[in-house]
Amino acid sequence: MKLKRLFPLIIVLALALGGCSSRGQVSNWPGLAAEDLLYLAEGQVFAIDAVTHNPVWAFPEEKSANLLIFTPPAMTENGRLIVGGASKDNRLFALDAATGRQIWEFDQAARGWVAPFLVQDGIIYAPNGDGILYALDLDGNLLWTFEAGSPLWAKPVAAEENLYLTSLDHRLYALDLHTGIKRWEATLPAASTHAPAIDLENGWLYVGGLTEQLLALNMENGQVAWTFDTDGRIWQSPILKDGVLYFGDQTGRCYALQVADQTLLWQDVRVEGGIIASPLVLEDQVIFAADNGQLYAVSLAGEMLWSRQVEGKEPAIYTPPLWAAGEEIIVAPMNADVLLAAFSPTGQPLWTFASK
Amino acid sequence: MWDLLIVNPFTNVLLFIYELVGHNFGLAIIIFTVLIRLLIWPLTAQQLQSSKALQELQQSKEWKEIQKKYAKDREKLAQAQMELYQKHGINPLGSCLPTLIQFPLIIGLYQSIIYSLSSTPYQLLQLSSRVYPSLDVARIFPLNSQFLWMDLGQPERLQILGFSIPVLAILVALTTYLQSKLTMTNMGGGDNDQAAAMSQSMALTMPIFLGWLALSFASGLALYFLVSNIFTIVQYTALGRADFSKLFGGAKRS
Repeated sequence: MKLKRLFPLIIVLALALGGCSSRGQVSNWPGLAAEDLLYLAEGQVFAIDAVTHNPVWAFPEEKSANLLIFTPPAMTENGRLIVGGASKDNRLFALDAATGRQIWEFDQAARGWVAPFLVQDGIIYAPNGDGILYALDLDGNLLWTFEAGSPLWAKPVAAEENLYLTSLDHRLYALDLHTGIKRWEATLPAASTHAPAIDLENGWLYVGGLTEQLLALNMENGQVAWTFDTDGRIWQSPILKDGVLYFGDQTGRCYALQVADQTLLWQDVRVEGGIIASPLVLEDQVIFAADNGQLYAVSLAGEMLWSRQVEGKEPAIYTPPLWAAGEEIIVAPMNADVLLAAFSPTGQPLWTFASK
Repeated sequence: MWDLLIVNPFTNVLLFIYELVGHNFGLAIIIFTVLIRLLIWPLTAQQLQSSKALQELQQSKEWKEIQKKYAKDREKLAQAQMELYQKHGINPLGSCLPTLIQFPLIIGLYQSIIYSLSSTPYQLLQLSSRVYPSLDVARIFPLNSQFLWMDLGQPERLQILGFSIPVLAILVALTTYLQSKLTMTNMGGGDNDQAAAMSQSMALTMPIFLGWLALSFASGLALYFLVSNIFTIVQYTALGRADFSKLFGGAKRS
């Protein structure tokens, strides 16, 4: 009797774990890029016509749990789009940007691709979850690698002859741009999930992380120049413009920090919800996206100008808003009714994209 | 509610142990499993008691008589059996409770492992909202998912001479078989031929099923199965309930 009863229970367990596996499936916020077409990586990569807002192609053609792509597609000089799988299939692909046709693939990485890629001077710098930075040429040939101590989730950034890369191992690495040889490494107070902002004028790198602190590091040697305490964690890169660093933290506080003397220009500008995404800094306003699905526009003087809600079940915006076609603010929300929503600089809704 | 009551506490206990044992997630899973098994020890003891009482009842004269009397009327047989259970104060479901309890634990643990070993910023963000303030996220993350040759967030394979061997899945299947055989209840009388056949069948299907889970899911879950099986074998042996004579001869008939 007892054993007979176990059979349905086994079936329930199998189904429950099956459900859990899809629940525990790799997921991340969408990647977004704008070139001649708009590219959205939301499991699949969609190429969207910037004028008609219709899909042009999708890669893979049908969404597959084995191949989920979330990294912002990176365009090469020869018209190829670099994308990488974050789930079981963790190949890196070069696609024809116009048609979505696969040109080549790279399959030597052990984990999924999460970090955005840097493409510069004919080299693809691709950080992987296996803790290795892969440098490839435009035909997918491996040039060199650099091994960090932990998964790499942040985009590498280049300045002069150096490549700067943060890692989850609480480190910021400075590498030779051409060989990947380490020049120095700096210890951070916590893991960092974003690229440092580069300030060539002052010779500083600005980086936050999973702690309530922003650091300014000397670009030459990684020494901490100064620190700035924040209310919450900084998940994505601060944006530097005209000597002012703009960023938000997970508590929803917005910052405009004058880097020369570390003066806080905005005293207490807050939004509802937490800020995970990098802000979009325009000529006369800064756009902050929040995890409550709202978009907020703050003037350079720190006044709240407008806010807009993206509709959905539990909408959240984690992907940095994008400025496209010189007139549109594009956001890629999660758990929303649409995959993309476009607004004018005054907050007027312009168009949406909702896949099929 | 599920997350609040099961997944979040599991995740935090796992992370707490992880920090305590010097950032070793495999060791954290082993200690967590032992803790869980100790927590349900009273239930296991109750299961043993229930199954022993049930076994004695099924071998009694009364039981055999009603089997004979209602051999052609299953409805009346079930009714008479229930009356006997009540008369002797036996809860026929009592022996299933520890098994039932295990199911949400397995599912909760699996989710906790997957959440803890975040592989994307979004998953880490979700995890950070689950972690209690007493745990310092900045200090703990990233988690070290390596344990021996395993990556606990991935299905396990050991490379031997160019072959990928699922060692953990094999061990899980083996220990599940051992456990089933050693702890199999003796059956006797009436419709127990069918029950014995079912018991034999379970001793074969459970290792295959758990082995398949260990093969397909994160190896952290397989580690839980393995430790849990070993714990059960040791527990039954310590209580004098493990019958090693059944290992090669099948279920012993009374």
